[in-house]
Amino acid sequence: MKIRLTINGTPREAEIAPDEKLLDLLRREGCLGVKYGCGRGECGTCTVILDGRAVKSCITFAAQTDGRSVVTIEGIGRPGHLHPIQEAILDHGAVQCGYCTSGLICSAKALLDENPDPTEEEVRQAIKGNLCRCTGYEKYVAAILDAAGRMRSQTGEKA
Amino acid sequence: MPTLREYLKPASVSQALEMIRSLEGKPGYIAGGTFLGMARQLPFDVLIDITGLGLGTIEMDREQVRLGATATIQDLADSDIVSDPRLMLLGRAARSVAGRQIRNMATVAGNLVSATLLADLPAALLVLGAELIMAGTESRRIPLVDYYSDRSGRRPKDWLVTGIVFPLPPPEARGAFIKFARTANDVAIADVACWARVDRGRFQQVRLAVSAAVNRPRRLTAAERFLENRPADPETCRAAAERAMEDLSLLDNVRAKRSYRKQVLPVLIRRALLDCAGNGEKGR
Repeated sequence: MKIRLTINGTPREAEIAPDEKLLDLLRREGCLGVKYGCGRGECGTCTVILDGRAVKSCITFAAQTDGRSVVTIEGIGRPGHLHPIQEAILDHGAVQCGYCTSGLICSAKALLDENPDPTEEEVRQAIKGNLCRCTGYEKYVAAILDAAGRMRSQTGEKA
Repeated sequence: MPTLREYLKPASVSQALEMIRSLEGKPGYIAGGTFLGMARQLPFDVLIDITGLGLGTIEMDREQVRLGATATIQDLADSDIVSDPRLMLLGRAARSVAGRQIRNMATVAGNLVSATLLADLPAALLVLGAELIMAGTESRRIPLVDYYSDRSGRRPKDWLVTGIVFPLPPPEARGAFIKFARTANDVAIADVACWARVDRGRFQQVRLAVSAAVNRPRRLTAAERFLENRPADPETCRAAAERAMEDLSLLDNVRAKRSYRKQVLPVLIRRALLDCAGNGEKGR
C-alpha cells in the first residue's frame, strides 16, 4: 500500500507493507538515528515525534502515519548547529553508551515544545518511557531543565 | 496465524461496521495500536483503523462524562475533567499508564477492552460505574462490570465500541487510585481503585475494584458490602482488605508471584480505603 507522510519537513510518498512498522520505514528512508532496541515498546530508543507528540516507532504501524508528520533525531539540529537540548546534553556529559540518546532527545523536544518551563517532576514523567541502560537519568534531567532555560531565553531574545 | 493483508481507513462508523461484517478472513479494529504493535503475531489479517471517525472527544456536563473511543490516555490525562476533584482518581490512573510515548497513542477504550491483563484504567472506570457505548445493528450500552464478569456480555465481533460514559460522582465523594509496579515504566503488579462517601465518620456507597493482579478486572463486592456504614477508620480498612482477599484468584506471572501479590494486595486495598477515608497519610 502507498502512504504519504512528512519526514523531517520533507513530504514523502512511501510504498509499505500493511504490517510494516514506522521504525522500519524510517530506517529504510535513511533515518538511521532511529534505533531498534527491544522492538516491544519498552525501551524507548526508537522514539520519534508524530504530529508533535513522542511515540515509539517500533510499535507504531507505518500505515497509522498516513497524512501525518514525523520528526526524527535527524530533524533536530545538525552538526555545527545543534539544538539547545543537544548542546545542554553535551555540556552536562549526559551521554554515556548512547543507546538511549536519540530517543531521549525526541522525548525531551516533544516535552519542551509543548511545555517550555517544565518542573523536574514533569521532565521525569516525560522521559520515563526511555530506558537509559547506564542509569544516567540524573544528568539527563539536569540537561533538559537547562535546555528549557536556554530555549526560553532564545525565544525571549527573538521576541 | 494470519499475516496482515490489508490496512483500511473507513470514513464513518457505519462504513467500519460494514467492513467488519463483510470482509473475509479475520478483520479487526485498530485505534492506538500499541497492543497490536507489540504482538509478535497479529490475531487479524485485516486492520480497520477507527481513528479517523471523529470519536476522540472528551465531554463533561453536569451529570456525566463521555469519552470518545479514540481519545488517547494522554488526552484524558491532559483534559480539564481530571482536575475536577471528583475525578482525580481517573487522572491519577491515566498518568500511571506506561510512559508518555504509549499514552500518546493508546486509547482509553483500548485499555479497557483490548489489553485487559496489562491495563490500569479498568479499576478506575469500574469504580466510576462506566458503561461501554457500542455501535452495531443498533446502539447499546454495556456496564463495564458486566463486560468483565459475564462472558456472554462480551463484545460480539461485529460491534464497535464508540465511547465510554459514566455519571459524575457526587461532590462529597472521595476517590483513590494506587498502581503498584516494579518500575515507573512497568506494567502493574496490581491496581486498586476506590470511591466512597464518608458520612459522619462512616463509609457509604463504597466501590472498590482491582485490576492487573487478577485474571480479569473486577469489583470487590464482598468488601464493599462489609464497609457499608462501618466507621472509616484504619481498623475497618484493614478488616475490609482481608475480606476482599477471600474470594480473589490472583495472577501468577513474570511481574510477581501469586504469593507476593497475596502479601501486597491487601496493603494496597487498605491504603486506597484510607485515602478515601481522608486518612491516607496517617494510614501509611
